[in-house]
Amino acid sequence: MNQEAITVKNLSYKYPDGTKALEDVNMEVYEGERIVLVGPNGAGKTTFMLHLNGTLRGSEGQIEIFGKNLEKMKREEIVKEVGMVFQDPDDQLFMPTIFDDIAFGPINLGLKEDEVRERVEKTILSLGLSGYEDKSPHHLSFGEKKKASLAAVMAMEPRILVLDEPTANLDPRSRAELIGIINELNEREGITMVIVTHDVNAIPELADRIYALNRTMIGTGTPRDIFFNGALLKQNKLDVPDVFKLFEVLRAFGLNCEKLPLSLDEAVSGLAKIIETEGGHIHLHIHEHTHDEIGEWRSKYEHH
Amino acid sequence: MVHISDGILSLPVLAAGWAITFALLAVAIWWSNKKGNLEEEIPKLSVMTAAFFVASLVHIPVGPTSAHFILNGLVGVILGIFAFPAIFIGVVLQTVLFQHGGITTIGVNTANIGIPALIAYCIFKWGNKVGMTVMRKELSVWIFGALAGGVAVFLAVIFTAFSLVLSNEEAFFAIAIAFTVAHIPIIIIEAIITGSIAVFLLKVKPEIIGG
Amino acid sequence: MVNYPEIDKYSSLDSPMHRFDPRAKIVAFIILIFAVVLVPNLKLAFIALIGAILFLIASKLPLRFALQHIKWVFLFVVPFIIIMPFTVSGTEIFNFHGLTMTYEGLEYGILVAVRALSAVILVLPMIATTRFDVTIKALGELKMPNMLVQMFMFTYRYIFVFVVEFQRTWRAMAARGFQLKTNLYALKTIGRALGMLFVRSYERGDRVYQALRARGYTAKPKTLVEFKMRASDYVWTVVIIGFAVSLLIVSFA
Repeated sequence: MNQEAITVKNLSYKYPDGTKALEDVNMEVYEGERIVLVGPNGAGKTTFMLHLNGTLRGSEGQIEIFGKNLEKMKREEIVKEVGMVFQDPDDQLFMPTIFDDIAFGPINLGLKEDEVRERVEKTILSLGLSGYEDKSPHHLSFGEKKKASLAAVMAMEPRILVLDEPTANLDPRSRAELIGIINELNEREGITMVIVTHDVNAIPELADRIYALNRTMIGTGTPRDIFFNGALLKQNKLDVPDVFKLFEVLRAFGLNCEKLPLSLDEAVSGLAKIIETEGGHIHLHIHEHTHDEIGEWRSKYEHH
Repeated sequence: MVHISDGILSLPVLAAGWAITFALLAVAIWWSNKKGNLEEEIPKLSVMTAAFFVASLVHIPVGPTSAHFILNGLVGVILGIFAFPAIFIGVVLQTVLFQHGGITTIGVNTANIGIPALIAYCIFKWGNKVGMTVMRKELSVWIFGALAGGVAVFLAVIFTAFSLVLSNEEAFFAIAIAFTVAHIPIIIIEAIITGSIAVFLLKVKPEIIGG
Repeated sequence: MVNYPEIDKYSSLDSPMHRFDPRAKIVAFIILIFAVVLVPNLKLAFIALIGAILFLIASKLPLRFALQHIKWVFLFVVPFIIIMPFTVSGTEIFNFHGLTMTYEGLEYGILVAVRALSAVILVLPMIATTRFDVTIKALGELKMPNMLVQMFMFTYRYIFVFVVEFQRTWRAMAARGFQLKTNLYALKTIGRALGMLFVRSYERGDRVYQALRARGYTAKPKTLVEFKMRASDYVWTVVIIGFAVSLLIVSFA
C-alpha cells in the first residue's frame, strides 16, 4: 500500500452562526489514489474541501498531509502540496491575462524568474493552452477558463489536487477532455486526486474510491460498493450512473446480466460477453415479475 | 457628471486636489497596513470596487438626457475608510478607460467624490446608532441610507462647483450654479436608490453594511 | 445597459506609439498633458492641439475609435463655450436685452475647450496603444504603491465579470417586461438589481480571497515584467517632454 497522502481524523466544523457543518469526519487517502467525494447539496462538501488546504480550520479534529499535521505546516508548504481548483473559474482567474495567472502561483512559491517562465510554458503546453498566454480570461470559453484554472494550479506542481465540481456546466466535449486530463495527470504524474462532484456519470471514470459525505462520512468504498447500496443512496439523495440504471431495467426485462456495468466501456464488454455466452444474441422479454421489478426500480430512485 | 475634464481648472486647484488625494490615500494605505490584513483586504476590496464601477456605468434617463450613477454614498456606507482608495481606482479607470474626467483632474475629482463618501459613512453609521433605538431597523436603514446617498452626491456637486469657482470666479460662477441646479434630480434619485439598496442589503446580506 | 471597457482594443497594432516603452510613455504624456492644460492663450492652445493630433496620428489608432473616446469631453465643455461668453467681462461683441457677449469670454471659452480636447486626445496614444494590464504593470514599475497596483489589477479583471453578470440580470428583467424609466417603481427595481450585484460580488470577494490564498498569495506585488528602454524610447521621451517644456517656457516666460 502506498503512503497516506491525506488523513482526516474526527474533523468537526461549525459555521460562525453555530450551525454544525461537519461532524466527526474521517478520511484516508493514499498517494496516487483518485477519490470522489459525493453528497447532497448542503452536505458540507465545499466546506470540507476548504479544510484540506487550511483555508478553514476545524473546531475539533486533525488533518495530516503526507503525515504532517496541517496546523503546523507553513502556508507556503501547504500550497505546494495541495492544489485546489475551485468550481467557478472566474473566482480563480483573478489576473488580467492567462500568463500572469499561471505565473502567479510559481512566483508565490519563490521561484526565480526563468524557472517561473519554464513552469508556465510547460503547463501551458501540457494542457493545450498554447496561444492563450496573453488573452484575458474574459475572452475564453467556459471550458477554456476551466482548463486555465487547472493550469494555474498545476503550475505549482502539487502532489495532491482537490477539484470542486470539475465537470459542472461543461459541454460534452470539454467535459470528456477535462476528465481525460485529470486521469492523465493522475497516471503520468502520480498526483493524488480528491474530486467533489454531482456528475454521477463521470464517477466510474474518475474514482478509485468514493467517500459519501452528509455532514459526516456516511460511507466509503469502490464505486460498485456505493452504487449497490440502495438504502444509502436513497437516504442521501444520491444517484447512480445512467448506464447502471439502464442495465437494471434490462435485467427486469430478463437480461441475464451478472455484473451491472457502471460505465459505457463496461457495458460494451459486458454485453459482448453476454451475447457470446448466449449464442450470438441477447434475449429480452416481459415475464411475470417484470412489472413489479420495474415498480421497485422506480421507487428505488424515486422516479415517479 | 461630477468628473471635471482637463483644461478647465487652475494650477492651484489642481495641486490642492492632488495633495488632498495623496494625503487621504496615504492614510488609507497606512490604516490597512496597520490592520495587517492586506492579503484579505486587497482582493475583497478590489472585487467590490469592480462592482461599484460596473454599477456606475448604468445610465438612467433624466429628463431629456441621461445620467450615470455616482453611488459614492453607498461606497462609503459599505467600505468605510477604504471608500477613498476604491473611489480613486474608480476615478482613474473612468478617466483612462472611458475618458470621463481628466488626467490632471484625477486628484480633484477623487477628493470631490471621495470625501463625501467618507462623510456618508459617518452619517449612516452614527445615524443608525441613534435611529435604530427609536424606530424600526428597516426604516432607520432606509432613512439614513437615503440621507447618506443624497448628501454624498450633494456634497460632490458642491465641491465640484467650488473647484470651478476657485479656479476662476468671474468666468465659472454662472456655470457652477447651472451645474448645481442641473444635479438636483440626480441627488434625489441617488438618495432613493441608495436607501433602497441599503434596505435590500439589510434583508439579504446584513454583514455588508456592518449590520 | 452597460458596456465593456475597450480602450486597449487596438493595442496590438504596430506604430511608434505602440512600440514606445509603457513606463516612459506614461511619464512623458502625463507631463505633456499637464503642460497642455496650463497654456494661457489660444495660440499656444492650438499649437498644443496640433501636437496632440500629430501624436494621435503617429499612434495609427482608427479615427472612428478615437472619436468615440474623444466625444465625451464635448459633453463637459459645451456648456463652457455657451455660457462663458456671457459671463466674462470685456470688449462687447453684441448686446441682447442686457445680455452681453464679450470677446474675452468667447476666447476663454474656446481656450478651455481646446485645452480639454488636446488633453483627451493625448490620453489615447498614452493608454490605447498598450494592453491595459501592461499599463498597470508599468504603473507598478513607476513605484505606484503596491496596494493600489494590485487593486487596479483585480478591479480591472472583475469589471468584465460583473458586466456579464449585470447584463444577465438586466436581460432577465427586460424579459419580464421591465422598462427603464425614472419613477419610484423603476428605481426600486434597479436598486434590487444593483443590490443583488453587490451581494454576489461580496460573496465572490470571499471566494476570490480563498482562491488567492490557495495559491500562496501574500499581498506582495509579483508579476513578471519585461520592460526595456531602447534608443527610440529615449528619443520619443525627449521629444514629448521637450514639447511640454517648450509650451511651459513660452507660456510663463
